Formats: sequence, structure tokens, C-alpha cells
Amino acid sequence: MAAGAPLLTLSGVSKHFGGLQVINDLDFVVHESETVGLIGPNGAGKSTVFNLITSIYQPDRGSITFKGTEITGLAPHKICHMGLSRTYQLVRAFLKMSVMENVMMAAVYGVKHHEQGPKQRAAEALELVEMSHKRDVNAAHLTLSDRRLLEIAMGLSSMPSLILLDEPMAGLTEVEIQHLLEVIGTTRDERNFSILWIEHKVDAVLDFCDRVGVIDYGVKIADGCPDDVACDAKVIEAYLGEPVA
Amino acid sequence: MGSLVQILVNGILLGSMYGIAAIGLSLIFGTMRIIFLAQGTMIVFFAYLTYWSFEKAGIDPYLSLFTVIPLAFVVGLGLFYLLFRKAAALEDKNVSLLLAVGLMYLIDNLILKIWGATPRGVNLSYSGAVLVIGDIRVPWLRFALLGLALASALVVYLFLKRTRVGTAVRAASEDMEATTLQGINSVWVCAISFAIGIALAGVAGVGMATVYSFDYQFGFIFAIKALVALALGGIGNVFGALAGGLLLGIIENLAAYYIGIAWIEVASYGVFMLVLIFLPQGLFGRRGLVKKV
Repeated sequence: MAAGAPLLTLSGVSKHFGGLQVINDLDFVVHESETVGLIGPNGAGKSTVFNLITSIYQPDRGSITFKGTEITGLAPHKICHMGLSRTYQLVRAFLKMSVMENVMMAAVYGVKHHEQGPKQRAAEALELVEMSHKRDVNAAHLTLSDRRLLEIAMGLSSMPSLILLDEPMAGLTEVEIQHLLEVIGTTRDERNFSILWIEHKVDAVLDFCDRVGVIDYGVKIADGCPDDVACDAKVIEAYLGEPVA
Repeated sequence: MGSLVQILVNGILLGSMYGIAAIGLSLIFGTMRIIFLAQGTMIVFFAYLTYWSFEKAGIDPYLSLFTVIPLAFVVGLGLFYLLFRKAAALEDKNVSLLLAVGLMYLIDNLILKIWGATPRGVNLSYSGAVLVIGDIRVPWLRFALLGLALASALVVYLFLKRTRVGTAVRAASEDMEATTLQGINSVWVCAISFAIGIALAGVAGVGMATVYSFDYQFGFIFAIKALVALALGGIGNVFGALAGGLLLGIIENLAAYYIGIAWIEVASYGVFMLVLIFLPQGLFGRRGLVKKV
């Protein structure tokens, strides 16, 4: 897919916790209508990147812009209103509420002044992830895979321009992964949003994304089209260790 | 038999006050994660306001509900934005808790300064009116308290379940961080639930003024009673909090009748601790609600 103008830009972003430099001088761009993967071994700093983008953490240095506006230090709910939504590796849908209540809440509060009413957006989002028949089920009674779909529906209902997916396939079976990929693929084609996808499972990301970035120990070591990244010597080294010879 | 029924009825009527206070505590705890210890003092403060408007202007306490509730709501919003806005955003909840303690003693002493140390009460023309059913005698004013408690519980329940703001409050009490990322302003959600908690203190204050005599020190005791009611009922459940209050009232009356008035507090705090030891989720909370480390 042809990528448009830059949508999300991280430039020179650094973050440390105590003596640990988690993210080091990271530059990264997501363009309009682009699906970008961000991969890296465990502890590489992937989730920290999401927490920095959504302003849960403040970066020590560097700046983050979204749609041309500086969002560093902006309150998380305002970033959401600008059209950026995220899902979690450990699903954080609200388990005491029904599927519809979850999606309605995201639809009502997730975006301000939208021509479509929240009820319509919520219903459409559930339709897109094929969860309409479970609208009255309590979120606590859903399977992990359905909870992931629910979180995606919550994101969709606020009509975002960019969705951050945090290891959406973790813990799912092959069949469930296939279904999730289909749902994400069809909704992306219909709504034309960008995706920034953190994943531990490399092969799925390489198949699905237009571009892939790789970080290791908080440093970006590769950024390019999936085929190039897969053959990059540094990437192979990060995942498999240094060559013996 | 007649006397046992009378004790139960008296207990329920006494407990309805604890219930209203406990619902307020529960709402505030849900979003701010603190036991708002100044709740009792806020109740006493609004009882004084009710007393004052009755003495100065002859306004019937039940009529003053219409002014006290909105006033309490606004006071709640004001207190939140002045005192708790910054503290509520901190991970360390002790700051909010200590602020609540400070607020409690500040208002206690403010009341002492304004109204003095003499216990006050409202003596209405219909204070003596009693409802008689067979052997059971119930003062109408106490009966009205039960009505207030049930109405408060129902209104709060419907607010949480049926309104969009209420849904946001429920979400925030499950997971504040995830709530903010759904586009909800965490400060605003805390402020709303705090203000409703204080509005409930207003309701309880009016109720207190009609039935009890009260002084400036009564608040802390009352906050502790509300806390006991909340623990009995299980935190995070509106009707559980109300039921916990009613139960506490029944325990107090049973203890007074069968063991002796001096044993009231021993019995109620004894039950409180037994419940916490064996049913930490409260009598009406779901099992497994309290996670083990």
C-alpha cells in the first residue's frame, strides 16, 4: 500500500528507568494508511514505546508528534481524542461491563464531535469485528480471543487514524490468529487507518506489514520493507545471538 | 417476639444512616482509591447547615434537601479541585488519605468555631409522630430515613448503570489508566464521583439533623461506622454498602438489648473484624474478589 504523509513521528526519544536506558535516541515514523510492525526480542523496549506515545510515560528527551501536533506531555485522554487508540497485550477491557457497554463507552468518550452518533459507531465497530451477537455478554465471560476483538472494536468506535496493537496474537491459537488477522485486514481496508503493531512473533508481522522496524536494547537496529529486515544481519543476531564463527 | 421485631426495625432504621454514608464512601473509593475519612465530618457539617436554616429561617429539613444536595455537590466539586486534584493523580494514595484527615480536623474545628460545642438537634412539630403497627412503634422521622437511604441507593445505582457518565465512573473504578486511554479525563471522573459522594453526605446530614443530636466531634465516629458498614457490605457494590449499614444498625441494637448498651461498640467492631478475617470481600461481595498476593 502506498504510504502518505507522516502521521506519527518520534524523533530522538529517550527514556530511562533508574540506571536502565530503556529507549535510546529513537527515531521512528508511521505514515498515513501504513501498517508498520515494531519487533524486537523480549525486553527490547517495545511496550515502553507505546507507553511513551500514549503519554503514560514522559520521555526524558526527544519529541513525539501526531498529525503535525506535538503530543509529548499531553494528557492521555486528549491524545485519544486526536484519533490515536491502543490495545493491550494483557487485555484491559472492562470486565465488569457488557461488550456493548465497553464499546459504547469508548464511542462516547473516545472522540469529540463526530458526525455519526456513538450508538451507530459502536454498532458498526462490533459488526466489523464480528462480535454483534455477543453484545450483551459480560466481558469477563469472553475468551481471550474475543476480548482482543472487543478491544479492537473499542478502538475502532472512536474512529482513530492510528491504532497501536500491543502483541495482539499473544496467547491465541493458530485458528484464532488467522481470524484476528482477517478481521484486522478487512477493517483496515475499509477504514483506511494506520497501524503500529508491536509483536514478538516475527513471521506474522513480516507477512502483514508494509514496513518493519526492529529495536534491541532500546536502539533501532533496522527499519525497512519486511524482506530486507528479515535478512538483515543485525536483526538475525539480535534474535539468534552472535554467530559462533 | 414483639420486642425482637421492634429491635430489628430499630436497627434497620438506625442503619439506614450508616448505609447512605457507606454508599458515598464506596463511590469515592471506587475512583480515588482512598477511604475518605472526612465523610462523617461532611455529614455533620451538612447537619449543622440544616439545623441552621431551620433555626434562622424556619425551613423544614426535608424541604432543605432541595438546597443541601446541590450545595453539597458543588462543595464536593470545589473541594476536589482545590485539594485533591493533584493528589488523586499520584500513585501514592497516602497523600489523598492524609489530606482527608487534615480536612476532617479542619472542618471539625470550623464547626466548633461557628456553632460552639453544645450538641444541637432539630425539634420539629412532628418529631413525636409515631407509626404504630401492632406492637411495633416506629417514629415517622426514622421511617423517612429508611426512605432516604433506599432512594439514595437506587439513584446511585441507576446513575452508575444507566448513564454514560456512570459507565465512565464504573470503568475508572476498574482500571483508571485504561479508562484515560479510552478518551476519559481521569480528573473529571474523580471529581464527579467525589462530588456525588459529598452530595450523599448532604442527604445523610439532613437525615442526621432530623433524628440525632450532634456535636462537632461526631463526624469521625460516624465515618468509622460508615467504614464498618462498607466492609460488611463489600466495597464496590451500592446495595451491598446499604445492606452493610442496615446490618450494622441491627447488630448495634441487638447488642444493646441482649448484652447491654455499654457493649454496643465491642459487638459491632468485633463483628467487623470477624468479617474481615473470614470474608475479606464482605458479606455481599463475590467470593474471589479479593486477590491473594
